[in-house]
Amino acid sequence: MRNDFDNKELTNFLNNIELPDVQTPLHKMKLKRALLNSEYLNRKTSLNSLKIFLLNSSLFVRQHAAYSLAAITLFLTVAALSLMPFTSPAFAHIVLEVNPAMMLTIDSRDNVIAFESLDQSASDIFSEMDFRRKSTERAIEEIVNRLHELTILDQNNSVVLLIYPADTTKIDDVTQTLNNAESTVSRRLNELKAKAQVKSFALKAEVFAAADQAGLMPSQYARLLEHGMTSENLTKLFNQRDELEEDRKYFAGHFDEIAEQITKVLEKNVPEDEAVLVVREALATRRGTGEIRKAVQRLDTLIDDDYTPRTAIAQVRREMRSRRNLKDIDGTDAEGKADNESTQDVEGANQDDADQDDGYSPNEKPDSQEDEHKPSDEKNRRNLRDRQNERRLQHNQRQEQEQRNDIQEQLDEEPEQQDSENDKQSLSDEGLEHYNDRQNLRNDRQERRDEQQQRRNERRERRYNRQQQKEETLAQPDASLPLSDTESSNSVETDAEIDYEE
Amino acid sequence: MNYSKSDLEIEKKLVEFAKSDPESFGKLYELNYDQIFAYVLKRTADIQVAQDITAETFFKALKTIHNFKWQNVPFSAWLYRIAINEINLLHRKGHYKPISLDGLKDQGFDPISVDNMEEELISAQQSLERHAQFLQVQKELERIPAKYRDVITLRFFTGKQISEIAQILGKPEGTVKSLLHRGLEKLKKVMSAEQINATFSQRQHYE
Repeated sequence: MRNDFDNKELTNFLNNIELPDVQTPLHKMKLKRALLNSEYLNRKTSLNSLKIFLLNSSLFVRQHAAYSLAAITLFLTVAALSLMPFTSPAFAHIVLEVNPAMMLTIDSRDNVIAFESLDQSASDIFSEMDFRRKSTERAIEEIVNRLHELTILDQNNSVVLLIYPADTTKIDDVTQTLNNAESTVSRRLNELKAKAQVKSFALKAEVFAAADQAGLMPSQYARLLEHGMTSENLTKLFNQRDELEEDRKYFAGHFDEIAEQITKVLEKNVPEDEAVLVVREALATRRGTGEIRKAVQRLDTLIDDDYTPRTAIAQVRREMRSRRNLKDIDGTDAEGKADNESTQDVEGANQDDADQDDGYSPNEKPDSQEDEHKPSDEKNRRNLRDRQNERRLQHNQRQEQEQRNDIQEQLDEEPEQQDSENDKQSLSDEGLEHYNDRQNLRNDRQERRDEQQQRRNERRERRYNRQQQKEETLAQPDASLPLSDTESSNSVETDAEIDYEE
Repeated sequence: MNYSKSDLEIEKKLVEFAKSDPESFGKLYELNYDQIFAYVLKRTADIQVAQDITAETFFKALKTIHNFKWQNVPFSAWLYRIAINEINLLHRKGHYKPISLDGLKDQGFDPISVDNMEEELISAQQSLERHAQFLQVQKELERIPAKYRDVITLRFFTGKQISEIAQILGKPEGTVKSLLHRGLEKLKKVMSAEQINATFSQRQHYE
């Protein structure tokens, strides 16, 4: 046995091993032919690549049939299930209104995911067109092309383009999309040599929802958007229809007039919220949009008479409220459903409502109004509101039956029929109405003057009493402490009174 | 086989052509088949497995030659590396299944027809069995780690220089030398005294 078998010897041994020199020429030749043929087939057509792929797949299946089948089935099922519900989420909604109006819902990659016709004409025109999965730019181009083919763009001079964000998007994020859409429309109109003008706006979703609820199309309130009216006031304005229970079609049909009058009011530097309240008061008179026109004219007159916009609007609203009260009286008598007591309640409640939102600041509000016309109790107030709502409902029904004619016409007819009746019924006449308004205003002013005079007298009397008291105190030097207290409190009161008077 | 610069340049052009021309790949195949087959046979000591692994090696080379980047190393080094990987696969699984070639067989090609190959296979097997000493050492080699086996086989059974082994394995020459030294140590340890005596007596008998 050898133990000194070292690396060198092992190396020599390995170097000297007789190695097999096996040749397999047949294998070599056939393998080469197979490889080259397969390579030729691989590169000849893509179909052959597919064949090889399929063959490899079939081999895989053969080797791991059960596992692969299960895995493939599971993968396909998961893929199908995961893809189906996760369609691209909505990013924004683009409303394009010419005369037909339509809405495109787009995703964050500017692809159209839904198309909706907002009126019948759009539905007729675009019923056979599918914009889904197209880019927003392409879809808008196709819409403009179609409108141009139908010569609709030539008939209209404005294209209103409005965007509002989807639920998960902020309004700031959609402005770029709006700019892109606007430039697309403008470019296409230019290419088609159409004369239409593009107006584009970005709206909050809740504002659009309120407008939609009121039955309004973007072109109807575009004027207000152009004027820069805030979303909050726009929403308030649109919600008037619901709050006053106006008929949707009636409100939408007259909204152009409303928007025009509001614009005029805003141009007088009247605050937006006040302008909205004027509209509310005017609509509440149930005399149609004519009442808004009258209010705006009256506002003009007052501002010309050096009223500030704020006081002028307060005056206009007060006048409208008084007219509304008179109308309530008329309606009550005509229907014979309420007695004098309820009429007083109506007046009281209306005055109460008006006090809450008449635009006066606490300092401006006359003292005489503080305790005047307060409802006797909560129950009466509730009853009163119920009756008012009932009357409004009846009024709406009457309006629908009479094809929504102007209420003024109805009031004009009534005096002819009841000419010989009492003075209250004749109050519905428009001339007398104005007279009554003026008379009411005069009475109000007189009452206020009387009250102010009375307060002045009371103050003088108090001042005189205090002076008397002072003199008496000075004559009694021992009672210095109580005297100083009284004096200081009186001086504070006097200052407050002087401030108030100023 | 030592490559001169001109040889490398020629081979480089051949490889570039082979990426788009099957005939050029055929030339590369002719140049390298024998040495790859010989190496695989000496590592596996099984004719049929060696044929399968060689076929698989060239088939994979053909499929991926468009990704091959020339690095001034003979093309055969890349083929050796593929073959080594295939052999390691065989050792990991305990059996060898040429997956890529099965696809070709299913497609209708029969690179190795059993009928035609039988005679060649038997002949080759008999030739191999005549080298008992080699087979015995090869059997012992199976007992040491693969990284030592590759180096020892390349060095002593295929006659590669240290630099060539370094190119094939993609390792520094120093590392190869170290692997070789340790591999011999391992081989010496696994060979029993009887085997050593037998080996030497066999050697003396041959001498």
